[in-house]
Amino acid sequence: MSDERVDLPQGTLDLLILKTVALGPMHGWAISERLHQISEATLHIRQGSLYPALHRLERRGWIKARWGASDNNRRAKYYELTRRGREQLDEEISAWRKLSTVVAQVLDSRT
Amino acid sequence: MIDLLHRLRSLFKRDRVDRELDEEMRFHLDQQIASYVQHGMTRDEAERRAKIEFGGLDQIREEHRDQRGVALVDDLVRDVRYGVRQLRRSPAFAAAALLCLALGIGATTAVYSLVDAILLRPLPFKDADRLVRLIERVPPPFPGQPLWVQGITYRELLDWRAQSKTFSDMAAVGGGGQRLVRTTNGSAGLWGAGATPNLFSMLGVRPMLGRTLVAGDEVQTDVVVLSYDTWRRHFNSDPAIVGRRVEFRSGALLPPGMRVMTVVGVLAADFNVLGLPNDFWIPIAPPTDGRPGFRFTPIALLAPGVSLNAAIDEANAIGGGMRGPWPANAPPLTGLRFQLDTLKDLSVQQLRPAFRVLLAAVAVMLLIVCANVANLLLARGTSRERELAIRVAIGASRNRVARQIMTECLVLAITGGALGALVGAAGVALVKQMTTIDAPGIFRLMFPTILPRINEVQIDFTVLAIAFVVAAMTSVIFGVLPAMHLSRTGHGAAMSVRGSGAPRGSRIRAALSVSQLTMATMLLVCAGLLARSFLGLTNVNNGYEPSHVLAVNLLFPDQYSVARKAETISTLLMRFRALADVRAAGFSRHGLLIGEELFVGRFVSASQSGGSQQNERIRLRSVSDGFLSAMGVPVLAGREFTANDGATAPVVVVLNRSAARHYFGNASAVGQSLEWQYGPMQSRPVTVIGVVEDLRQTSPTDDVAPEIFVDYRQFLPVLTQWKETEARQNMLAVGFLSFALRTGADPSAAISDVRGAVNAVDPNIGIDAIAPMTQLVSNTVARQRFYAVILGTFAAIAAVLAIVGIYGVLAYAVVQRTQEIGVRLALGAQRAQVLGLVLRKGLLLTTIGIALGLIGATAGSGLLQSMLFGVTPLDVQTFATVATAFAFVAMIACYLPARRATKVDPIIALRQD
Repeated sequence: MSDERVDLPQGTLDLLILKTVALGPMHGWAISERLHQISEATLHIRQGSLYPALHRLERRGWIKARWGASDNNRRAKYYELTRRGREQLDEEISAWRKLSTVVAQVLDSRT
Repeated sequence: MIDLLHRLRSLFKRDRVDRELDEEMRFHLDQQIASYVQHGMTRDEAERRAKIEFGGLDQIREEHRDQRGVALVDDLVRDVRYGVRQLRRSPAFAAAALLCLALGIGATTAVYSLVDAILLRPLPFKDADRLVRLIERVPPPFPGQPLWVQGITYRELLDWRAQSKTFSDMAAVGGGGQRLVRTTNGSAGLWGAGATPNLFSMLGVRPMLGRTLVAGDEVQTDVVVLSYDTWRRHFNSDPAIVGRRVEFRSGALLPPGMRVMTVVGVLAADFNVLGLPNDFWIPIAPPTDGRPGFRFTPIALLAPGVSLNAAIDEANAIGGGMRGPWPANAPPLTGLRFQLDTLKDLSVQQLRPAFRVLLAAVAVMLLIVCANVANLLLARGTSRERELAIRVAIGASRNRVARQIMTECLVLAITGGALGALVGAAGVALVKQMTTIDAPGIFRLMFPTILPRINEVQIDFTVLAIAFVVAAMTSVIFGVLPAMHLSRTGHGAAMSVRGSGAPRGSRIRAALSVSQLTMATMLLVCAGLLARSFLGLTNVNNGYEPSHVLAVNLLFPDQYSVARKAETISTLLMRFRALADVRAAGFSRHGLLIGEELFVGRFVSASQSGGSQQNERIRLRSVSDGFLSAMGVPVLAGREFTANDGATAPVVVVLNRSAARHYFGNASAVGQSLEWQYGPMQSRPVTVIGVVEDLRQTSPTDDVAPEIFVDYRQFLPVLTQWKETEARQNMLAVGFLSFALRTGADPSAAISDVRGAVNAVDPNIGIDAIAPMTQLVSNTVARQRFYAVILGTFAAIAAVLAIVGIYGVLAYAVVQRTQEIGVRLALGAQRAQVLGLVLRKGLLLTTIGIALGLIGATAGSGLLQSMLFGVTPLDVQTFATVATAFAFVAMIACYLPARRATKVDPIIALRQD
């Protein structure tokens, strides 16, 4: 467990959440765990930003929530991607790719 | 959309949303703890660590709330509460602003609603703007009179329709009158009109039940269409009315006749054409003999695309062809011989100028309201600058402060708007109530409509919304303006500097205030004059005492002989007098309040026969014994008719005061004799038995004229002696079957007894109208009352606005000069001097405003001349009262801010620098 933290640029968290729930319905803790694992413990999303982000995405209609049973048989709120969310995700991924390519080009260019 | 749903859900299911959020967080925490435990931590440590990482649950909750927009709503609720509290803390400001808004929005809404329904909205007919009425101007039958107008005959109508290219259809109305109709509730006198059957299809009128008149009805004419009111009142809303056969008999003053008519339909409520009586509609039939027959009023539908002028040209060509040249010996024709007017114009022509003025007045008024509210808000905003600056200084965001002020203004505007809607609704209801003529049967025909189409008037919500938005925008703009000023200058400056220097726009404000005072004074003077006229009218001695009088108008079957009618009248009188509460009862050939003048021969005083004035014809009234006492006409000398003045007794007459003076000057008339001359040959002496007060029959504005009363029981044999036909006898002596009953208690309590008595005497007698006399009499002054109240209302509103206006101007001035006043006080000025300082300014404005108003009223009140009664347009008393009272109230309005100025604490005022 590393304490090395990366500050997420504005809006990136939304993209990451969308990408994560695209795999299937997931509750909040699982989302944060998954982001934690995939980023090899670089990203540690605090609950204080995760849940507001989830609720924001839900309000925008990109993800929807429903109550279900967790592995240990407790009531948990599962989030899953909506159709509009998937479109949004595709858009954001391509936008991100473009942006990161451009940023990389600028950074790598030798002048 | 989803966003909105979520927000709404958050608002209404707040507890549940919070609970779910808690549960979700709890789950997360537990998972985290479980995860740490799995990684080898002890349970306690895992819990501690998880909680630290998690942060405050409350914080997340707050953030979550902010996000889902609860904060906005919470703030709004808080702001509204705060705003209401602020307004309640300064009740004078709140009351003034609310009053202005309510009056402005209310009056605007009411007036525009009236104008919309009466002037703007098309008549409720198909192609209403293309409907015209045709009239022909003809030479008067007697020389020296102005030109008369007349309609056209049935044949001419057919010719005209065949020739005209500018009319796509042409119908005619007229030829109605009173009929005795056997209804579900006994016999009733109904007033109807005739129409060519195509009228209804031309107007596009749909029946409520059955059908209207249709082509073919002019051949098979025994059909009738009932009005909605007739169907409801006289046929108890019988759903099976269509097909029912109903007996119609001629009413009073029509040639006798009886027909059984088949009801073919019922019209929708409020159907009306040219204000004709419309209890029922019957088809106009072509004349069966060779004679031209009655004349009717033609109504035509212009062909599409035809201009009114083209139609007028054609009408004069066609009509001129029918009539030939204008008669040479007739008075010269000015203008056109045949005239077309649109039905719309006919219904609203007279009202249009008045309504234009009214519209302009309320538009100006709404502007004044906005100016006043702006003034009040500016004064208040400036005085609150410090409070707001402090709020900003201790950390409120500027937006937040602006939002709060905006909320306050909106609270003000919304409350004002709601009150305005109430005021508007009340205004419309008042106008409706005041212009509704409350008179049954024949009496309805006596009182012309005050406002046409008044039943169609409803509050216009579009106008209400517009007035509200204008007022709300004004209050928001002028409420937030000081706050904007605050954000621009920075709070440091606002806290220290308080409006020093000459206030900009104060001249404009003062001028506005003076013009408000001027207008209000003018309106108050006019309203005062009208109110005095109205009071004068109600105090006029009409020569009788209408309270406790029940007016009854009956209708006898036309086949009854005059003898039978006379006998029935005395039977009825006997029955009426036997009723429990009836003190006196009498019959009159003239309808009560009906202004028909009847002259039967001449009366010549024996002592001075041959004088020129002797040739004057004197009005004759055929009455029964007891009539004068039932009406409460004071007997000045001698006595009125008694039961003994019957057919066989010597013929006696009663004179009114004017007639007594006319014949006998100041000498006593009682016991004197008059010669009643009839035609060239007939003559008989009559004895005067009494003199009574002059009676104003139709209206308090009537001039009194000499009148002679004769008992109908004596009048009939006299007419027989003079070889008058039965029809003439009926017309002269029986006529309208009007009865006056004097009751001890409330006359309307006797109505059902009277009905019962009439039905007991003869169920075939139609009851045309039964109503308390006071109710009928109040209609005679309804128009004057309406004028007085309307102008009075506007004057009152203008006065309130002017008062609030001057209060606002001075209050603002005091706020602006607080610092200056503080300096003056610190330098030793007395409170009284400060009071005088402010009052002087108020006094100056008030004096100028009221003086200008009085001058304006002097110039303008002449316009009211025709509406005044018993007051001159320059009535000094009215002018003086208005000026004094208004000045007094205005000074009170000036005193309030002046007193506030004296309360300025010099230390605080100075320390603010």
